[in-house]
Amino acid sequence: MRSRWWIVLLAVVFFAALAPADAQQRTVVLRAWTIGPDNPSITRFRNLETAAERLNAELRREGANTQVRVEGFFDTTNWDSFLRRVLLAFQGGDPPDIVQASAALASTWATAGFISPLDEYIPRHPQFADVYPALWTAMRYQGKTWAIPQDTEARPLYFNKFLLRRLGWNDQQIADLPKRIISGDFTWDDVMTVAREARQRNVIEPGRGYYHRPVNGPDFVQWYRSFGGRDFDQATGKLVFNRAAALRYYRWLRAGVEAGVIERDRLNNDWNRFHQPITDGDGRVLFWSGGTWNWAEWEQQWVATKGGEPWLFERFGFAPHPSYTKGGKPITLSNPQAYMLAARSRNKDLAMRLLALTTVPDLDAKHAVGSAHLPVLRRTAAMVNNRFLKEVSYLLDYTTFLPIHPDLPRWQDAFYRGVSAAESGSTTPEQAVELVATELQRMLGDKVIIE
Amino acid sequence: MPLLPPRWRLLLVAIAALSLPILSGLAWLLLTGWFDQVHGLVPTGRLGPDNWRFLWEAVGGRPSVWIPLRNSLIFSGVVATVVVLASSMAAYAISRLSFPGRAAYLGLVLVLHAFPAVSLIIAIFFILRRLGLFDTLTGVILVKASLELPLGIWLMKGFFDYLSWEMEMAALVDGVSRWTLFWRIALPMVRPGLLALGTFALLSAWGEFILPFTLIVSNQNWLMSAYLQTFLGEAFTDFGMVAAVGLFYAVPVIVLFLLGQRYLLNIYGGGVKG
Repeated sequence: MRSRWWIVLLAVVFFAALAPADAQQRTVVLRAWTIGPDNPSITRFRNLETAAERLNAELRREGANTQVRVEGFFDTTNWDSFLRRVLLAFQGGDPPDIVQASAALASTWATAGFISPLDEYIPRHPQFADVYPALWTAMRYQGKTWAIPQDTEARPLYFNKFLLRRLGWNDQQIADLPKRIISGDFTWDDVMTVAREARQRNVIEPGRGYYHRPVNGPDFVQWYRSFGGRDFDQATGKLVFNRAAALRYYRWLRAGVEAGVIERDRLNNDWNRFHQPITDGDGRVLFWSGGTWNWAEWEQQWVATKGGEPWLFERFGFAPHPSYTKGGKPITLSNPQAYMLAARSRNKDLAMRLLALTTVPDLDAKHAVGSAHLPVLRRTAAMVNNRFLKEVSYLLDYTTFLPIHPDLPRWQDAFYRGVSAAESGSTTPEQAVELVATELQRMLGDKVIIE
Repeated sequence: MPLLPPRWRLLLVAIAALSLPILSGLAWLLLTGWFDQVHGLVPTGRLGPDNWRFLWEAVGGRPSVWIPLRNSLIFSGVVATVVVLASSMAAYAISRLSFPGRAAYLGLVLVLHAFPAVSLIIAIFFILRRLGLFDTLTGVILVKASLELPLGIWLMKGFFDYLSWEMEMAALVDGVSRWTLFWRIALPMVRPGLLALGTFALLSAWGEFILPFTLIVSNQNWLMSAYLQTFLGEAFTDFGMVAAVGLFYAVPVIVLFLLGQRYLLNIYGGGVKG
């Protein structure tokens, strides 16, 4: 009699263990790794969390027994450490489902087999139809789409109006500067001339005539192009290194250092040494190259206590980067950020639904306004009532993208070493150009055209 | 209090002067952790717990601090236990038993100690990946413990060498097995050594950065050192919070040091005085 009770009890336990598969809710954890490294871009992660709430509501409405939870982090350290972590995760075989990074990396990761092509999924989600077509171009490699645009931006040449006034410029001249850059009337040489004058008249301290970023980044491609360089050959699909353009750029930097308007150790790895002098007092740097997102950083972190955005509008102006020659075309560069899907993800359908719900106007606008990046959806642009975004978005008329090539990071590293050598004075600009050419040839062989 | 001789007073002044950089560093840490703004060592902002909000909220998309804290406690606790157990057994065998290759083994252990962990990291990555232990706490625990073993074995061997052999001989004659001898007689006599080694291993594991930073990539498995590192931003660093997290991270170590310093000093002494 007693043993029969035991059998009944065991049977109950057995069926109870089986039952949850149907009756209980299944929570799928979607792992997502994102990066700023600028703090205001945290919406790259927060928007995923909000989208997960909306996806869960949708799933409940559909009566599905699945819910999702987004797990992951938003990295504010630096790109090197983030990318190292992502690579280790890809190599380790258990990567996160979603990784956000520069779209230009898609070609490298696609070649390595780390990420999944998305062409099959995109048409299923109407949200993606409103994305600017130019951004999709930046997501494609070898005929396939590898990423979902997250944001884009422009990289302006900023100038300090307060210091220009002290140099004797009137308000009209200052207001006209962007137009002169656009028409090709104001060139890189003019930037140098004004900076030199500012130094001679003691309007700026040594080295503060022109600032560029202190670490490697996509901007160097933009500056190389503004000095007449081309980095990609459409016909052959090869990377290109143009000696003459690189030499012009390196010589310009060297001349700046020698004239005391560019710091010899500008590549000092320290972003604080970039932002601090730019925002100190009324700003102590005359011209500098930055990104639109810097605006949000300055507003929220550097000048928050002394006036925020109005302070910035009063003192800082922005324009596209000039050409090296009179009448030349201005330029800026957009390096769209994108969400990519790991090839090994076991929840691709759900992850794509999550990304579709992230690519909606309200979240796009929230990110754009909060981080001073530019939206990816056409509808968002009409929706956003933000002075900076409105005034800066014309820069996109002059924008270019990084070439989509898996070996681009090597090209960038070699070019950057040349900048470092020429600027610090450890070689002459001519030697630096040869150094880069030799290194590219050695690393990439016939995958690069040296001209 | 009797006045010290002038020579000693001079020495004290010299020591105080030498310690000044360290002391001012600690003062900075304390002040920055508790005030909104600090210029040099002068607080200019409000006193308040703002920098400590990581204790009750997840800051900037990071996991809650209690997750890395739990992981760090498990990590250092298990590493210390494994190191103490394995080292004492290995050291006892080396000290008391004669087996082929004993000298070579001792030398090999010492050579292993010469390799900095970072030089092995690529090989370790491939091994862990093959074993399916990459990105797991277990994997990093095994690596850290094995890297700590050489020092532990040599240290404990020194302690066992000091034990009187006659006492063990007497026990063996009485019919006690080797295992009982080790467990019941030898181990209690080297207790100061075990405690010192345990404390060292615990402290070393608590402060470990390179291994967990490289071999753990998921934030749910982060240790406190990796958590602290995420606050050092490229574009902007909130030093107030860095200081607060740093202090929080240091508290268990300070407590442990206060409790264990007696045993740490013992590391230079033997098991039995005689």
